[in-house]
Amino acid sequence: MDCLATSELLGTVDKTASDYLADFEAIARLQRPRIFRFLLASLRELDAAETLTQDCLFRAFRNREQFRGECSVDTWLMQIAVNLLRDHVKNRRLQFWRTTQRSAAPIADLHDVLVSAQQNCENVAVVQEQVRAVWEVAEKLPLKQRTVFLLKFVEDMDVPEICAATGMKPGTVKTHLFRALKTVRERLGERA
Amino acid sequence: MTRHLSPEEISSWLAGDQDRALQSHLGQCPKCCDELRQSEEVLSRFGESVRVWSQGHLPVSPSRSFIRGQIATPFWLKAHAGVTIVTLLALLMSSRHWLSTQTVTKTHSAVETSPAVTDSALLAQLNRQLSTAVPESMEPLTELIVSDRQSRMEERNSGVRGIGQ
Repeated sequence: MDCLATSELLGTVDKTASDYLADFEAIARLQRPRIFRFLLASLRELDAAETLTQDCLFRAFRNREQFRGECSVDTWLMQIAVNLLRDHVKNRRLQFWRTTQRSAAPIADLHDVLVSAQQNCENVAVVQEQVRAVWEVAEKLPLKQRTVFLLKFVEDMDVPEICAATGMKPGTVKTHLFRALKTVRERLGERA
Repeated sequence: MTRHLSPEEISSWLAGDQDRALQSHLGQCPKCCDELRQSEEVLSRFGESVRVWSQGHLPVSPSRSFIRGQIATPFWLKAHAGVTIVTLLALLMSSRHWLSTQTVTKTHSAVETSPAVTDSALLAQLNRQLSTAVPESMEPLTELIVSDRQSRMEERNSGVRGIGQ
C-alpha cells in the first residue's frame, strides 16, 4: 500500500510546486527509515549511513523528473541507495590509507535486541547465537552478496524488485543470494 | 525421492529457486521441512533484529523539511552568501574609511595651507614694497618728476621738428 501511495504521490503531474514539495517530503518521511536501515546494515557506520540516506533523498528529489514509474518509488529510492553505497565503498577502498576513526554502530546492544525479539522462542539462546552468527557473516560477505542478502532478508524484497534496485539480472541475483546463503548456512552448521 | 535435500538445494530454495521436485519432497519429508523452517526462522529473526537495531540508531528527524534545508538553501550556498556579504561589508567599510581619511587630510591640508598662503602673500607684498625705489610717502614727488620729464621731452621733440622744417 505504501508503494502505491508513494507512486501516486510522485506520479501526479498537475500540481503546484509547493504541493509537489510537500508530497516529496511525505515520501522522504516514509522511506527514510527504510533507506537508513539498509545503509546502516550494509556499512555498520552511523555517520556514513546518515549521510548517504540524506544524499539518497536529495538525489531522488533532484532527479524526480527522471522517474518514469517503471518500478515503485520504494524500489527507485533503493536503487539510488544501492548506487550510493557502491560508490561509497569504492571510494573507501581507494582511501585505505586514511586512518580516520569511523563512527561504527555499536553491536553491543544487539543482545538486548535479540532478547526482546525472541521472547516467545523456546530455545532463545540457540537462536540468539545463530542470529549473531548471521550478523557476523553478513558483515564479511562481498558487497554484492551482502546487498542482495540484506534486500532479500531485511527489506523483504523479491527477486524482480532486487533486480530493479541493483540493476542485476535475475540469474545473477539468485547466484549472489545462493552464495550468500551457502556461506551463512555453512557458518551456522559450524556453530551447531 | 529417497534422499534428503542437500545444503545447496536448501540454499537454492531459500534463494528463490523453488522448483516442483523440491516442493514435492518438502511436502513428504518432515526432516528437510524442519531444516528449511529453522533456516527461514533464523533469517527472519535476523531481519527483525536488524530492523529493531536500526530503529534504535535512527537519528531524530534531521529537519522537518529536509528539502528546504537541502535544496532551497544548501550549505555551500549559505557559506558562499556569507563570505560574499562579509567581503562586501569589509569593502564598504574600508572604502568609507578611505574616504573619511581622504577628506580629513584634505581639510587638514586646507587648514594648514591657508596661513601659508596668507604668509606668502604678505611676504610678496613686503617684497614689492621693499623693491620699490621710492617710499610711499614720496610718491607724489616722483609723479611730479615724471610729469616734468615728460614736458621736457615734448619740448625737445618740438624743437627737433622746428629745425627739421
